[in-house]
Amino acid sequence: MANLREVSVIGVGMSRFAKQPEISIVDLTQAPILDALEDAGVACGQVQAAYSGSVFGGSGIGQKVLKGIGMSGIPILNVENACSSGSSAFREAWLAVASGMHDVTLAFGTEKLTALGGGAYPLSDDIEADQGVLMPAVYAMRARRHMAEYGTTIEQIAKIAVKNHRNSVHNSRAQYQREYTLEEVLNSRMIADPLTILHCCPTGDGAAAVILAATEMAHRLGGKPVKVRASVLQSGLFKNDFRDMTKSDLSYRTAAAAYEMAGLGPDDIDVAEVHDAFTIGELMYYEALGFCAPGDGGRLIDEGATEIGGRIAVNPSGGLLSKGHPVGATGVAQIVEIVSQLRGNCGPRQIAGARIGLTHCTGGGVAGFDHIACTIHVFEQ
Amino acid sequence: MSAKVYRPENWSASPLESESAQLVGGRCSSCGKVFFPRFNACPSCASREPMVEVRLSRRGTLYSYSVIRVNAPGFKAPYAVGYVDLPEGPRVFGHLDGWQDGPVPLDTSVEIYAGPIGKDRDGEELISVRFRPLAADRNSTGGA
Repeated sequence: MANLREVSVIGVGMSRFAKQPEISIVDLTQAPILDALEDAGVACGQVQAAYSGSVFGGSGIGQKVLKGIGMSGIPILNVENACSSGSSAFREAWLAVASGMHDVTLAFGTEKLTALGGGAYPLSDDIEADQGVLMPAVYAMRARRHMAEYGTTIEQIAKIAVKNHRNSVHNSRAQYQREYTLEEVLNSRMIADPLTILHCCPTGDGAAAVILAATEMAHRLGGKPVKVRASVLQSGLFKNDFRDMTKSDLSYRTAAAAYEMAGLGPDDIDVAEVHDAFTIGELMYYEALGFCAPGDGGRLIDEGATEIGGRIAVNPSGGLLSKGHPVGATGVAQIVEIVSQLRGNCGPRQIAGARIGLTHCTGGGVAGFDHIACTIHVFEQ
Repeated sequence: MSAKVYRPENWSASPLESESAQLVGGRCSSCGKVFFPRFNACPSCASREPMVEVRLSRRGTLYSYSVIRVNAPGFKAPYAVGYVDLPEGPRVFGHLDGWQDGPVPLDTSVEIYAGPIGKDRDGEELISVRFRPLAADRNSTGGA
């Protein structure tokens, strides 16, 4: 790889994730950006470029947010990449610093899903969406196939929701902050069989922001730096024919590239935030990320390996399932959690001694893709 | 009530007029790969030569499905959607019959036909791909 500078995250901020129709998207987003600046010890005038991730924020959302907080007149890029919009914005902010183009950048993600009126994430202009497919049904088809091929049980899949809801009790910014029993998950309202509503993430509003800087400068700035060891963005491979829906080839490819870039492997990861828009997603992505062998996701959750205190804690924040999934904000919020974990700032949900963390964010429903985009980032304290 | 065929160019004849209408895919005249639906350029090799029309089998294999219990705009729940693999290669999305009688085993053979799937934005009945599990396969074991 060309001469890339080492980059660190030096400041983080995040709004409450919840249905908050009374707050404008601008107000919702400015607060975490100001928090991130304060955390980094950086003045607004020191930010040289900004990257805004949002799916439904609309044209110029980055400029609309930044104009009122002293960050107009700099390069601002609005990034849309479905559920990976925020993490794609972060990657651009990372690349700008790594390449030497800028020294200090801002990445943020924002979404106000209550403005859309609720219900399932809308898919459009697509042959399958036109014919009634919904995102939960896509994951449900993966679940049914995974169960048929590997003997995975619906109870194993449901345990992902139980775990993540248990974790979010300790996250004051999470949408749910309450526990659910296995029976409650299994017996909640059916959405797309075999997935009930508690297998699905909620819709809501939220924003998250991070400040990045060249590591060589980070110590002169105020924040407590966490190094970016890998940043990988990949897109799905279009296939018109057979696809193994139990294996996200996109997440496998992105993970392999991220581990190579970091010079690390799955055994090195202490804590991960993984894209659990639906329970079966987290289980499949365990396999893609190499936390267990293909088909063994159910066994991994049974062993408790991904609980806080387990071999590799996954989604201590509550994940998308319980913290919430304001789509464009999600990828940045995952980074906020991992940076906070590596700084030791997570209180009751802190992973003891966490040194290496990973974020995985993928999404987008278009016929012929498993997903349109996937990003994986690896961080080191 | 009026009905209209979703993307009628994907059928060999109008399903409103012919019960034997078949799905039509396209074979790239450069690399030979078969696609459904047809594309203007080949997604595999980017050839701009017009694809050769290929009539696709009326039988395929059910890969997976789900019964949707929430209404999507224009679609009245519950309804089942699934993917079927065709012998010519393409995987086709459509609506599945027979789930009301209990779980349909995966890898079961299905018949592909045109039938109502829901309504479009204007409230018109939409005719598109449906899958009917074949009885002989249904009674066999395997799958979930």
